[in-house]
Amino acid sequence: MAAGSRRGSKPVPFSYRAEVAARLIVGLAGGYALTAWAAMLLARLLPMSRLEATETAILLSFLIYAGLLMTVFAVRRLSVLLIGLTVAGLALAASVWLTHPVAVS
Amino acid sequence: MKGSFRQSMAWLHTWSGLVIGWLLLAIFATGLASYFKADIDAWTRPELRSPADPIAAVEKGVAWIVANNPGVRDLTVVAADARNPIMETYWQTAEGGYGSAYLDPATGAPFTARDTLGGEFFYRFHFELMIPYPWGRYLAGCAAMAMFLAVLTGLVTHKRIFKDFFTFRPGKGQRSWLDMHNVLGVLSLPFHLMISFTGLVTLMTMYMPYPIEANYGDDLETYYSSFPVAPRDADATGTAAPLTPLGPVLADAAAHWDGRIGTVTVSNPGDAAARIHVARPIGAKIDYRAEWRLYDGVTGARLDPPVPSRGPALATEDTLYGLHMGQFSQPLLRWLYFLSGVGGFAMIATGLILWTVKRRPALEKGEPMPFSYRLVERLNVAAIAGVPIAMAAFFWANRLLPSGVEGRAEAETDAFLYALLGATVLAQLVPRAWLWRGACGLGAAAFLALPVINMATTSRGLLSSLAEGDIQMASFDLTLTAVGLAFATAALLAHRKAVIPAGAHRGSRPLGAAA
Repeated sequence: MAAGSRRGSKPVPFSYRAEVAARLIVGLAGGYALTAWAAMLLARLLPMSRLEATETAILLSFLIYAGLLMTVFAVRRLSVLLIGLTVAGLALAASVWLTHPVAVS
Repeated sequence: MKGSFRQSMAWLHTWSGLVIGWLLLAIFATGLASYFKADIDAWTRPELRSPADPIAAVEKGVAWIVANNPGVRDLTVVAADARNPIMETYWQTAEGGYGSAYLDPATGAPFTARDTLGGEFFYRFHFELMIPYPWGRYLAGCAAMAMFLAVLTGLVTHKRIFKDFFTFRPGKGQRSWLDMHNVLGVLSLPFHLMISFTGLVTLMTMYMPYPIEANYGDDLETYYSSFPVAPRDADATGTAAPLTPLGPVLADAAAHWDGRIGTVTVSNPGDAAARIHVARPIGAKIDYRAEWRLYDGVTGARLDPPVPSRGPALATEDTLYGLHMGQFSQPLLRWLYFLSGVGGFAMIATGLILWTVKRRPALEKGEPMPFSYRLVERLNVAAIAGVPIAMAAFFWANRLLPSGVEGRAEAETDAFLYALLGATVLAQLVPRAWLWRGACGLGAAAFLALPVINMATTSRGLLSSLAEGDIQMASFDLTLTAVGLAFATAALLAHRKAVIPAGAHRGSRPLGAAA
């Protein structure tokens, strides 16, 4: 276990704690935002009726969130992770904005 | 993170499991009790008996509501059945207000049984945690998500699932705890994946409302009304017409569901446009889709409005919801649900204990005990033994509080809360060597005393239940006894570990009883 082995005598360096905290915040908040955008996009683009697409997107969102949380802790370099999530987030948010129906009925 | 993919997933498994583990134990314990909600409802109201004729009971209940609420607009009676001795009812008054009551199926009138929340308390606690709306539900959602994540990361951490299934090396300290955690996890892996995911599904629009916003904006009315539901009510005409006798109507509906009925709704009783709506009994199928038969309330003729079909996504949702609720399960399957829940509780418990066992060798080398270790070790005891003890305290209060006192139902839930708080505080104060022995001994006493208290305070003790062939009451007392015996066994094991002098063992000690 990567972190489990550090205990007792050896103090955990601050940089390690800061990185864990950063990944936690990025994963919980950023991951949720990405999931929400992805689910919104799915709800608009899935080739089903409006209601069916909405419900499918909600059901899939929990799998997406779980996948993102695992990714956030699996990617080795924090910088790669942050850049990747930012690009994905911008792309998703832009897509959600672009697919906005002209008039929401 | 540093290290391989598997290592970082193992890290995520450890920490997501630790952070949420205690809360999950409480959610699991109350959730697995909720598979027997109807039976808890029955046990906590020993004054009531299941009706011999549920249809006649509904007729009486409807008559009581109509007689006591002139001009009632619509009324609903949830039928009692062989397991459930109470009829839950609610109605809309002539003035547009709402009323509700629990009725005794024997008389059709509000019952005089002791005031208790019964099984509803554990059911509500399971997803609301006694925290005001909506925060309890959000917290339960976080717990479900963390568990889903912990199951997934636990899964990918494994090198050899199949082999783990057959691996148990007892008496080897940390290794044994890990084996036990693995066996429990793998044995009912489909259950753990299903229950955590479907738990999210039960309140999914609360946890992920954004797709609705994406497609409907602020117009929630359009969203809700787009669910395909057959029309059931007709507008009142203002012309008076007597309500048809309910007996034949309900019997006709019951003929289609193994002689059982679910919820009965009568709209506009006494009006020419009266409608009788009989829902299928909960549990006739896995999915939670509403299914009913509709009758004219004046002629009693069956109406057959076309039922719109539900698409694949809605059908999936209905089925996932039904899987979580487990109401479709007949006794054998219901016990398997219960045992899977117990397995889940034990899996979380062994995972939490493993966290401490893993960090113990360093302590045994004489390093100072960090605060985090002490806290986790003692919170483990508080949650693993404290939650069941708190549930037992609820049942103690149910039997021991006098029937007429003001706020009796709240006093029962207070007993649960104070027992849990007391166990948590006590677990911080008890000498370390007595932690597990004391907690498990207390658990054994709390549960083993319950059948005795039941026998002493009611006429429906274990012996008379067995003599009468009352399987429901007898199984309840026997289950309490089994839980008590399990605690007693754990207490004995912990005691044996504690009295063997330090140094007689290599490595760490299971149950953490030895100082």
